[in-house]
Amino acid sequence: MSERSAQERISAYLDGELSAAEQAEVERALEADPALMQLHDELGRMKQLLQSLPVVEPRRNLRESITRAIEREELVSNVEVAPSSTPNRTRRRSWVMWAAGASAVAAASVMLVIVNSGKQNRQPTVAQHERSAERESLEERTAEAAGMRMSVEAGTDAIEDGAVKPFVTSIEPAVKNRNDEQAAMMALEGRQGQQMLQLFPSVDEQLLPQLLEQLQQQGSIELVYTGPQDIVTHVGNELAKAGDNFKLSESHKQQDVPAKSLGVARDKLPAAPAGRAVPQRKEQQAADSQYATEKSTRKIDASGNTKLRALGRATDLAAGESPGFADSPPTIELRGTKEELAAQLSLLLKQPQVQLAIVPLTQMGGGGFGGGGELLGGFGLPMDLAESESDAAGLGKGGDTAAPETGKSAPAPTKKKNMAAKIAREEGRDNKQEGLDREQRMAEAARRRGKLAPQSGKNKRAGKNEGATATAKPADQPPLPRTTDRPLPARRSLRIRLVIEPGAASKSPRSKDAKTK
Amino acid sequence: MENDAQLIERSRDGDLTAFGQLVEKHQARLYHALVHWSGNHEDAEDIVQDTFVQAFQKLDSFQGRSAFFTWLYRIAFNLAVSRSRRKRPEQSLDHRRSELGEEVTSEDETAERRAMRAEQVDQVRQAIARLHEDHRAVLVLRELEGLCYETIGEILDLPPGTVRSRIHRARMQLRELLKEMLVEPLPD
Repeated sequence: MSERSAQERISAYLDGELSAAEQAEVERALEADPALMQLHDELGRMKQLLQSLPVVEPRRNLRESITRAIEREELVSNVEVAPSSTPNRTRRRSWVMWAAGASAVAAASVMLVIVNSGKQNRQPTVAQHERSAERESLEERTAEAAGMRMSVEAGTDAIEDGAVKPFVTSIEPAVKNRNDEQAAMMALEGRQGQQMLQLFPSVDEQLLPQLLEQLQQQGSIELVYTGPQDIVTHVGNELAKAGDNFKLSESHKQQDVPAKSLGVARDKLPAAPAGRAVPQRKEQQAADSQYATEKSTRKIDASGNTKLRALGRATDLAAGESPGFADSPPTIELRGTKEELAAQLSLLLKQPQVQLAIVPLTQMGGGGFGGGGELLGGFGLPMDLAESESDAAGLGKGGDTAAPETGKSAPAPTKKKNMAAKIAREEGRDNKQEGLDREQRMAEAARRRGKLAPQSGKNKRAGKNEGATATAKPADQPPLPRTTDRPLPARRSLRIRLVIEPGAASKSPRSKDAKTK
Repeated sequence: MENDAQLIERSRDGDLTAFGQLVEKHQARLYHALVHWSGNHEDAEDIVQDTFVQAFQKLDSFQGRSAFFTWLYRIAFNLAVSRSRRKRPEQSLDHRRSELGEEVTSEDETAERRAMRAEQVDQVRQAIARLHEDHRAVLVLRELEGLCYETIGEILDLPPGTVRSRIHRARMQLRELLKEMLVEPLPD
């Protein structure tokens, strides 16, 4: 037996890991060799030392941290598209329900929905949507009754061509505020032809590298930034302050829009007809609708490089006003180097209680809302969704819609449309002309498919009245709970578009830059 | 109190309360091992947290062939090793000392004795921190957790013979590092 082998045996002997025969052999060796005996003694003391190390207790709330972490991870994994996730669905769903019930955590949580754009554009079948919508409807009501917070669960489902397609099985709204609904909408929106949908429970600076990476890869990203009114306003102001040369662009002047916030011009709105009570909110919506169509452009020169452009209703962010952009948020475009944009992103991510969505590339409109490939009121939703069924009686009914990019007819998730209808109604979107065009396309698609009932006159009228498109709906779809009476929290949204301008060193006047554009 | 198998079964059905009980049951022991392996609270907490998150997510893959804590430790040490490989440069020993400064001490110890003991504990921890991570892992699992070679092998995916030789090498290194302390008998 070599020396090393003998020593190793002593070590194992001390651990009681030797057979009886080996033990006896070691004991004989120890008696015969004082050096081995010394080693034995020292190793024995060392064992004693190690085993007497005081127990280091974890901090008391480690368990809570762990469960919160599980909740976060689980929420993420619930909306990640994992082809093999089907077997876990039961546990996931149950867990999501639990997670939703943990309102203390959920209420304080900040939600980040990242909708990564995908290249595939396959649409789930109508049957799948209906099946999914049934589940959603049931779970939504259950969750709502329990006062739960919205959570999103996803899984996979086979589609007709044999491929696996992600789906969102539940939107459990606990949605006591509209923003959760919007988050749900955005989550659902990500289902449409997207490869991955992620839901993060918190927005913090750790997300910066991820956003920057995406920015770097795509050259630009567009965010929908929603949060408490004061925070979002603050952020808007801070972004505005980043510039030192705030001035209205040429396009703004041409429209002869007041230099200050267009909110001023609300005074000029037509008064409500005498004898007819018009809720303040409707009036506000009317104002928003009117001014949402008026584009104003502002640019800010931030350190000579970063430009800020506000599209939509003009809002005097720089002047510190609190513009009423809750219903039609302005788009702020920031252009600059990666480093400059990183600084702005960092500011965004520092804020508490905000939601942040990355609008998929395919959904990014050229000029914010109102342009081609538009998004619903700046909430990252395709206009299709906003336009379908916004009649008050039409909730919970499905129908077809047209794929915005291709113009081809394709079924859209019923849930999407229902929620879109709610939001469209609440937001008072005024996209009448586009709605009519799309209405025709969708109706045509429905007729071709022959699966859905023709459009009702009531819906049509309502759709026109509301400035949105009414579409054909299956008759047996149960209506979803209405949300119009839900209290609206003081939350606002900004759309922020970040565009990398490599090596931009534009010390040139902003007006000149605008003319060039 | 339900046993692990029952709690695991309930956790699989989505009962996070049950999983919370599993966390409660194993977190302290796991943390104790990891804090000595990593040398600081922060890393240990992170690893423990990640371990339970992964455990919950992979609960369906746990087949019960080994004890739950063995499976848990396996996740933990895999995470710990991969974490350490992408981690920042080694912290100074002083930092480690300050990190593990809070200790549970017996109430009947005198101040002088406590001081001596604290010094001794510091030295031992510093010595452990100097070991190679593979050696540290086997030693922590053996001496602090009291696990047998076979279980350590299961956790670290090593054959028992390798565990045995690694433990021996770890001890020999530690013996060198703690030479002075080991020559004299421990104070009573």
